[in-house]
Amino acid sequence: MRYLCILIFFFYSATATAQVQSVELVASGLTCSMCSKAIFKALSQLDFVSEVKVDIEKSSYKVNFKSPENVKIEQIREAVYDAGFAIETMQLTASFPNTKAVNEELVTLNGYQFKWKLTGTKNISNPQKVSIVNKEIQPTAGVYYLNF
Amino acid sequence: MTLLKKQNVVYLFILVFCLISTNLKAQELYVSSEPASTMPARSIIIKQAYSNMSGEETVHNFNSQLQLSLTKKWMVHFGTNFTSWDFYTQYRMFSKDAMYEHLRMAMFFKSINSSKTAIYTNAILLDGQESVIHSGIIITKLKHKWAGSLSVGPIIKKESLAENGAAGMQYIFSNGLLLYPKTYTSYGQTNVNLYLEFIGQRLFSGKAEYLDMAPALQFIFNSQSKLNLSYRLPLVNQTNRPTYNSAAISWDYLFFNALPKRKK
Repeated sequence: MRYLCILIFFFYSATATAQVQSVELVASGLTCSMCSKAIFKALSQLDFVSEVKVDIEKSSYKVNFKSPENVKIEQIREAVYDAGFAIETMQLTASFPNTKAVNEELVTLNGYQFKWKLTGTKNISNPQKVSIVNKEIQPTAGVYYLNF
Repeated sequence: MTLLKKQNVVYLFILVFCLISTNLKAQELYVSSEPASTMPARSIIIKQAYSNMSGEETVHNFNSQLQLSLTKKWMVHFGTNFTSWDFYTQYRMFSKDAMYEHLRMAMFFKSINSSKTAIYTNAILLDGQESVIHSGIIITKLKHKWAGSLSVGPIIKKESLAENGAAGMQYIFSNGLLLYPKTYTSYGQTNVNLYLEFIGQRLFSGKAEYLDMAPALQFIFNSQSKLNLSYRLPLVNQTNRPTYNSAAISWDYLFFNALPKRKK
């Protein structure tokens, strides 16, 4: 029985990586709809993206995915910068395996390394919406910092 | 003051007349005046312009353009007006973005190669009537619904028949304002922009210079194609340019994601 419990524990840990369900980003450097459409088109043609919903006035884009496993955050970032603009804020909605987020603790999300940047410990309610706090959504020493 | 106001009204009538007449076109301002922002990476623009240039003589100037964005910072344009061909390239070297505003800086190089024999004139003509090289810097500021752009750089005529010299400085100060829509609800809404451009040139010899004004209206359809209507007229004209007024129209269409992405 003890060995069965250990086996189940290991199996659960191995499959319990966090997965991104959707991304909401706000782009900066633009006002007009033609510029907004450039970002919309660049995001829409990413092969792991199923749908992009845009609010032109707020310069915000909600990106949904075909399947969470293939999401590539750096390609989402690149799409906005290639269109000629920058990202002001980027939020991910994801399911995390843990129920608590501890400051500076490492989390793996779709193969990306993340660290929590929080004041203390917070409870995670799944799915949880978190913000990437790195400047220009570029990783620092290979790590993205998250808070909520 | 009253005379100046009357002149403004006359110019406004000319613009409105041009807007409703079939002889309306948009011209070189949008060819030689680009904002510092480059096109979205890997996109293509096709553009057709016509300008009815008048003054001492009348010239019908058609210009077709193929514009390619190779990367998010670098674009190249190839154009022709049948008697000349032109090449333009621009590289965006600085970009600072904030919500609904940006500051951009780019450098550009333009070469116009004309098959026509150079004409005797103390202005350097950018309409394909003679071979010219022009390069410079563009600074563009966007703040909410207003965008302002300044383009400055030297301009050289390849063949010079004028004793005044073959080189000078070209300046373009462009102002644009988004008039409509007041609120964006979809990409299908037609955008209307109002422009006012000032185009100036001064030879290094100081012996000839001009300052032209070009108000323009721009319509953007489906957030993907543009129609530009403009009228250019001189404010200061110390040159013997054969033409110095221009009623112009141009249309362009952008193809997104048209060029292949380089695999890293």
